[in-house]
Amino acid sequence: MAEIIVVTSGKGGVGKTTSSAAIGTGLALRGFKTVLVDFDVGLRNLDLIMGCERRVVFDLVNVINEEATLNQALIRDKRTEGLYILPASQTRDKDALTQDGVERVLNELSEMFDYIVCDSPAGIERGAHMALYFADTAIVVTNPEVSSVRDSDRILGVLQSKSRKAEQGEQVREHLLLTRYNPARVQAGEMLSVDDVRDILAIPLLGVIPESDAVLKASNQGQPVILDDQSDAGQAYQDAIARFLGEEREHRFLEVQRKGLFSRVFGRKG
Amino acid sequence: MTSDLRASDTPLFRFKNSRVSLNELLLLDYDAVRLREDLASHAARLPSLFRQMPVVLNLEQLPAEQPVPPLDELLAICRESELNPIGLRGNNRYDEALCLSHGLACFGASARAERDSAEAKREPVTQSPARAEPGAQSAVSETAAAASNTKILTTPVRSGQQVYVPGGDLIVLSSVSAGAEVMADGNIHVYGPLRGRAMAGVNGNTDARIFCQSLEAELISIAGYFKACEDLQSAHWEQPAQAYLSGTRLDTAPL
Ligand SMILES: Nc1ncnc2c1ncn2[C@@H]1O[C@H](COP(=O)(O)OP(=O)(O)OP(=O)(O)O)[C@@H](O)[C@H]1O
Ligand SMILES: [Mg+2]
Repeated sequence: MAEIIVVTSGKGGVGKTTSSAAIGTGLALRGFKTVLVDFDVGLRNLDLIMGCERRVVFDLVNVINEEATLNQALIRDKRTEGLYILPASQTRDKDALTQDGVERVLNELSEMFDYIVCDSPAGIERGAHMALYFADTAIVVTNPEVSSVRDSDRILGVLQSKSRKAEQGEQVREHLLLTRYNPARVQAGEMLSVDDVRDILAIPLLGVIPESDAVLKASNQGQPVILDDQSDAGQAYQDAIARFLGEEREHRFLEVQRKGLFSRVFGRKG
Repeated sequence: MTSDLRASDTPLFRFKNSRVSLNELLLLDYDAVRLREDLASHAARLPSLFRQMPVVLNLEQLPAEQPVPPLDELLAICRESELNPIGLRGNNRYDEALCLSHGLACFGASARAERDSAEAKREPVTQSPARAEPGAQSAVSETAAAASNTKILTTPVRSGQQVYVPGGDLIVLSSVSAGAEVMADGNIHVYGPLRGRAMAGVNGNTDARIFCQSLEAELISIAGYFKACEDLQSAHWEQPAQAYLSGTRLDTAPL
């Protein structure tokens, strides 16, 4: 039985897909058989970030409609052992995701994998609801700004009331992942601080991912940023995975860093 | 499998005793034009949870000498304001068959009918007559009723969520987020920051109060009298505070 993780946010463009790719890869690197499922039907960019867009033949909707088997649709990641991607369709819309169909696919994946990481589309409509409905665990991706925090709060409400766990009287495990954190802008009062966000959302903090050029670089190369272990963002995602698996790690990259080699070396030690 | 379960001797239904709390629309006077306007403006102020709220039309306090309002017109006005009339009280004014033909249930006379008439004149529409003098009989029974239906929430009320406790108090042991709405016919206690909207005494109970650990609300309201965030950002902002009505003024005070 796999653990189903949804990476969700409410607001768009906050780093769900970036984080899904990093988390899926991170779990696979730790030896867990992991599948990344792209629920963003109609947009499809998880495969781009994972650099496997040219290998997509069948997709989630094909499997739901029984036009292809799971094994035909799953793409094996070439870099990371034990990691698979189930891409989304670019040509369908989110109505193609039926609850029964999604459940069937997740059940089948559940027999094959340790972790199922679902990359949710933005919003709280059908697509996002389908992505979170079957989740055991939610990683709520939030940027340090008021509108993003508000939307995350809203998604937490949906998780508490409209997920399968909630309907069964149980609770979805909740984690906060604060991304695109820019300490300089926090210091200048242009962004909310970690403490502000924690205070409002009141759920455990899985990690803080700094705003980083490494993310753009990685996604241009079609490679999840967590594989760039020289980068601050890559290290921050590695820390988050460690915490997810129960290890204690101190939060890094919360303070304004001085540029240059010295601070990078120092930062890596932390 | 399913058909086995549905053997012919298995009952298809049973009646369950339920204590649904209903609001009454207490008509004090009838003027179709004004009623339509007043209800519409009232509906605009009320949270969306009250859309299609089932109500019993209470006609007991319409002046006896007045002609009976045309039922079709009255129902149409209610429905325009997204109320859902389900029954009539004081319906000896209408023929019972007429009520039934409109799909309305006939409720008997209310025990409070007598007492209400004295208070009713000042009461805005849809608010139940709880504005009795302190210590009066009705205030006591109101408190007792409130105590019987307390709801306790241990997790945060999140943005986009609405909670309503009919006929009782709401106690939130956590926070109420900005964009969330908590409502109760009785009092509201929030043992965390109150950042969303809180409405106590929504059925017209002017004695209801709101208590919170940190007042950061978008709006608070008691019995329909409200204050928005702008007017709340005074001395007690982000402090433990309570809100209550002094006459028709909503006041806040430290806890
Ligand atoms: N830590 C970061 N530092 C810098 N840029 C980032 C970071 N995280 C994400 N981005 C950038 O933000 C943009 C949006 O990221 P991403 O596609 O992961 O968000 P999303 O939440 O999946 O968006 P959508 O809601 O459209 O699916 C991308 O251009 C990405 O490169
Ligand atoms: Mg995305």
